[in-house]
Amino acid sequence: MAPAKAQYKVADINLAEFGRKEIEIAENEMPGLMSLRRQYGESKPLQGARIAGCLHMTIQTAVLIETLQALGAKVQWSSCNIFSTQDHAAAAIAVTGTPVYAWKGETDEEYMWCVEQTIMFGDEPLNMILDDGGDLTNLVHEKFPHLMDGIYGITEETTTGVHNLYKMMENGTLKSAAINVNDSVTKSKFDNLYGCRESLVDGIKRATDVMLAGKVALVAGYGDVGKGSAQSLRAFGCRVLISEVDPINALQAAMEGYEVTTVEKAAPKANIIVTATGCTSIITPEVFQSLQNDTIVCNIGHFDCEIDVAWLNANAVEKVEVKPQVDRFKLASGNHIILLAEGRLVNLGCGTGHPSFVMSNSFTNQTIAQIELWTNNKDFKVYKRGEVYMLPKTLDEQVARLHLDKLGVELTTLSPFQSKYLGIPQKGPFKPEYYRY
Amino acid sequence: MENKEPAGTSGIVAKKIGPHLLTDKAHLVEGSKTKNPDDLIELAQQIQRCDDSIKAVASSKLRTILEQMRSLQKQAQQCLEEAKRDAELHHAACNFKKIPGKLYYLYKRKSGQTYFSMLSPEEWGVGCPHEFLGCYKLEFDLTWTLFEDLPKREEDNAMIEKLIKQQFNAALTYEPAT
Repeated sequence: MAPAKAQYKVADINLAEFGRKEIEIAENEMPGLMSLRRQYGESKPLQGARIAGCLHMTIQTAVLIETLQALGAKVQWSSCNIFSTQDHAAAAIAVTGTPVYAWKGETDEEYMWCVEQTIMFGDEPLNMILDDGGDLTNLVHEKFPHLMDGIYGITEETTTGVHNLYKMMENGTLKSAAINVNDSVTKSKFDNLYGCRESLVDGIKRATDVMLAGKVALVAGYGDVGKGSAQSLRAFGCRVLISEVDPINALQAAMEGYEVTTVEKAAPKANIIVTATGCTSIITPEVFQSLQNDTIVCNIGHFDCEIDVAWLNANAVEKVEVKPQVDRFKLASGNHIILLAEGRLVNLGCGTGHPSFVMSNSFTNQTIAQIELWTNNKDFKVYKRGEVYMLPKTLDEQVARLHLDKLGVELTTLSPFQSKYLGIPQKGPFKPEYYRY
Repeated sequence: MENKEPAGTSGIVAKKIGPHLLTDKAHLVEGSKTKNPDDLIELAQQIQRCDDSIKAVASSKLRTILEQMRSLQKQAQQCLEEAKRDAELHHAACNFKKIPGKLYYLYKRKSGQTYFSMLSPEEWGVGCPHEFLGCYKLEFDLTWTLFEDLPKREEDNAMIEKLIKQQFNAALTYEPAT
């Protein structure tokens, strides 16, 4: 018989008390999640749901986990990145008896082990997936396909995972219904943009303490993440160059006053390079060899394929670990490259990720999506197997509404006359589906 | 200054004393007359017995010291080996911060790299990706104890704690004589 599964696996359970203190502060910064607890704490709409979650095990995620539990769900958790776990957050969740398998600094093999531990709830398998990046979704589809029939839905947090879902939908390989949480306006236009705007520079500063003012920074990719990254670098006084493949985004960047050029042309001028494309092979061996001495290179896209770290490891004449997640490589030319978080998400590897408030927007969407798929979809009529959906506009607006009070926002209400003039209900939805914000 | 003495000839030359030279070692005080020729022989025999006895005592003491030397040498060697092993273990690859008091599992990748994991071979189950080398506890003095040696180490710790307690109690429970 296989040995009993570990109850949890975290770096240091003694950090739980510290984690709990930070969770309590985060709760006050996450009004969306806390209002869901108040609204659904008694009716417990997620009763019976066994949610396997694979999402950065941070303090903010701890508040999400405890919200899902307050709504009646059983939850098991792993992190979706080998460096992103906050060990005190994981410990605080573990001591409550929630099975969590996550620590900062997993190997790739340990990472998959952790994800796999979240699939069986005792003798019963998961029946809901909450994913960030698609690793859990892919694991269950590939290694446990027999469990897919029992899964009522998948909610996906991020751009990369959403791409994966649409690809599966097109190929006909998606075996459950899925909600694209990422493209809720209150997610991607907030977390990706305002989250990165604060956490990118925080990660770079914690790692290097570099003076940003006056430096040349290259941001590869001008999507929501690239926009936030570029804006904060500029706010610190960097001269920011942008590279883009999409003419619309490239034009946006130009209209914001950024110089838009190619990575090949910009890189030799740059002191700091940030990749935010979601694509592969952005910083290639040729680019590395064109860089100035001690250029800082980091990534804020979901996967670690944007920077060719393998080439650096194989071809650098020297690699010095300055501290965890900060490596200084010496190339044959004598120039150095400072690589952050081994080319993985720099804001989570070198910092503590996005602040709580913006994550409350994302995670309120996640929770609402889980409720939708669990309560409205027992027969797959509303949300069909093999399809990817977005949350309706009213729910998106509701997520935003839940965050206004905390900021002291006073919302204007349409008068019946104005409502009639515009043809828009007084309580919304205010915008058509195609509106881009 | 150069040493002019030829190699192998130190100043001290060991004298061989055969039984026929026994009486050579015995002398009466200068000026005293021999009353009985046997006196000198008896004296010589007595000296011989003393010599033997001293030699035996010295030999016995030296043996004890030798044993202690051997034991110390062994301890020194063990100490050096443990230090080397601990250093090697600390240099094994590890992506996370190691916490004293916890067990860690050492594995070897196909590339030859050794690394610490939080996962035991049992937790890996059949999916264990790399060769398992051993389980170690990181002690609070940052030395390592092999899992198999843990019971002994804990026994020692308990003993040491007991001794410390007794010592403290002796010092703290002074009762004046009534």
